[in-house]
Amino acid sequence: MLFQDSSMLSLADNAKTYFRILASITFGILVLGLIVAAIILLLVNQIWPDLWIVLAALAAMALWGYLQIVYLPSRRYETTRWRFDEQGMHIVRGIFWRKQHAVPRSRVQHIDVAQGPLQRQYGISTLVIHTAGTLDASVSLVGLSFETAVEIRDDLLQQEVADGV
Amino acid sequence: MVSDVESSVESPSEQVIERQLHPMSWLFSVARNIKAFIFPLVIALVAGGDKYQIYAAWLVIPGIAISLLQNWVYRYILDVNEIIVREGILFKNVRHVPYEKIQNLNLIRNPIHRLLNVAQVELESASGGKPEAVIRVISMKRIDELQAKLNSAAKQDIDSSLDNTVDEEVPEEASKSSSILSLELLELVKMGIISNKGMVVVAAFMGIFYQMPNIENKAKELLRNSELFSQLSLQGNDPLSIAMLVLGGAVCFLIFIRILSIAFAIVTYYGFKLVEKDNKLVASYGLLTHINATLPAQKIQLLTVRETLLHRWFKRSAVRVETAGGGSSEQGATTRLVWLAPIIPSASIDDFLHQVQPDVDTHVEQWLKADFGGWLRMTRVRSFWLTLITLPLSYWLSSYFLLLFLMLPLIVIHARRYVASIRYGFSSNAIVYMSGWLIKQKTIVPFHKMQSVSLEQSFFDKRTNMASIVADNAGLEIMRHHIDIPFLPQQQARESFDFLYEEICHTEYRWK
Repeated sequence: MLFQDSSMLSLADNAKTYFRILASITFGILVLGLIVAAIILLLVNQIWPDLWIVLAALAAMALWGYLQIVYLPSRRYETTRWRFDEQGMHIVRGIFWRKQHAVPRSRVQHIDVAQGPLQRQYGISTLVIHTAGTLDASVSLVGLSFETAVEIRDDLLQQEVADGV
Repeated sequence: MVSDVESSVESPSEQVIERQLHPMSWLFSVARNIKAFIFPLVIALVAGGDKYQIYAAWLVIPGIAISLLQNWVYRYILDVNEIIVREGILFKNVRHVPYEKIQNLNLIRNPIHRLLNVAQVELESASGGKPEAVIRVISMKRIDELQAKLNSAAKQDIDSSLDNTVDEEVPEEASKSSSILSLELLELVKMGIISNKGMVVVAAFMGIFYQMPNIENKAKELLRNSELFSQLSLQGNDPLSIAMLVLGGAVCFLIFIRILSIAFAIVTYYGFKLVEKDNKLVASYGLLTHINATLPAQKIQLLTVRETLLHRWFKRSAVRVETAGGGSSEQGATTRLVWLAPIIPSASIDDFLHQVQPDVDTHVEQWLKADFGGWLRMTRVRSFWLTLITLPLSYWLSSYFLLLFLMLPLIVIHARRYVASIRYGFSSNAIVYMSGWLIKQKTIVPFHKMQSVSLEQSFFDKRTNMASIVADNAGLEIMRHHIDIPFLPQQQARESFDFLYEEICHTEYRWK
């Protein structure tokens, strides 16, 4: 309720897929590590667990995987909103700890548009806004489409040229 | 050594001058190196500590040799519009600092400096943090030369800016200086009583004490043999005697700490004077090490007025500032002015703030408060942590730890008072935020110094329809009081956030 604002935009459509794939990769690595660790432990100790323990572990992993890959990425996508206007940038994000950042145009020191290999696949990017502040010296927004991010950056740059800074 | 530029034909201010450090600089480098080793060395010699501590002392020699070489190759060059610092033996470093970028010229002089008529100089730019250059050490004559260069550069800057811009600072007002605050000895005594700095000294002594078995034994011997204690007939098993001893000891300890604190305050802030000159605040203070620190008024990002319980008994306050750049713990940044008024009569606080920041309006029409229901949340969180600490302790160590639960009423009282003390408001160009009941703090931040604002709602906030507002500044110290207002009613938080953002958008941030 506090953060509801119809003028705020959501991330690029591809962002949800990107979040999912990113989460899958991290989840995959973790699970792989756990399996290897479990096998080593079992081989060293020569104790074989009961079937129900294996099943319970698998179920727990499945639940965790669901949260990690399906639930959280879509929540993240839904809860992230942004608006860029003539005054500045607003970013709302966070699932349990909600936070709205507001950075006025005049306080923007510089802007980065970054793209990782996976992000390039999906045509999305990370916009990083740097201010002279301390707590929020840089505010980043992951999941904008590359074109939008570049547009925002160019818009801010043009203003700086106009300001004669 | 005058460099090979055809400097002879130009006017003195256009000259390029290359300078070395003062011939006696080596003394201070050696002192600095020894200082780092003196503590283990003294302990090793006096207390008969481990052998390795004595061996380690030899490590000081290469350190001294290196710093002597560094002093020898160190050069600073006063060019037409910048100062160039060359240093380094293996890794050479050349730094160019334009005169106009230099905001402060800070001087540090301890008694030996004063004896030799030299000073350590720190050149600070707007970036804050570490000084741009630290010159250890040059003579006062060279400092005057440096100052003259900076002044002439500043004058040119004003001349050239006169025709094209309408600056906030009016050049005509330049070079007028007025005293803002000077501290008498009595004030410093009060400051010592209020502060608890003596505790630090005691802690340090305790540390040494436990390092030295010999000293501990000697002290015991001294006590045993002293006339004073042998005349006292204290029965070890008489409860009254024990109570008296404990009470007497506690009182003596408190008095001792206060005396130490007073001594500390006097040594550090002796002759404190804060003067306004050319839109810069200049503070000079110190009994042994004399410090002369400058702070351009526009570099102040945030002002906090702090009053502890003791402050209020003496009707005194203290004023702290935060300046752009932060990172004051950096080595070398010893002269940064943090306590603009280490102690000041509470009655004259408003005048003081006005003199320090004449453009900032501190008058708030309407105060806004936090949701009082916040105390329940505070109590819940704190009791949770208390339980988490107490239960394992009492289970495994001793059931006496359950007595810690007697703190619960204190937690409740504190939470209620604290939440009730939270208030904030807007003046015509700043936000003022107050909180605390034992230690009252009031922070003032002008809108144009804010970098961004955020509205936050945690999971617990949401359950109770609350939210908090945080404003970000350059050079903020996160552990210190800043604009981070918790437990606000949701709707009010939204309105204040929107208002604040709107106000910030209408201002311009300036570094200098």
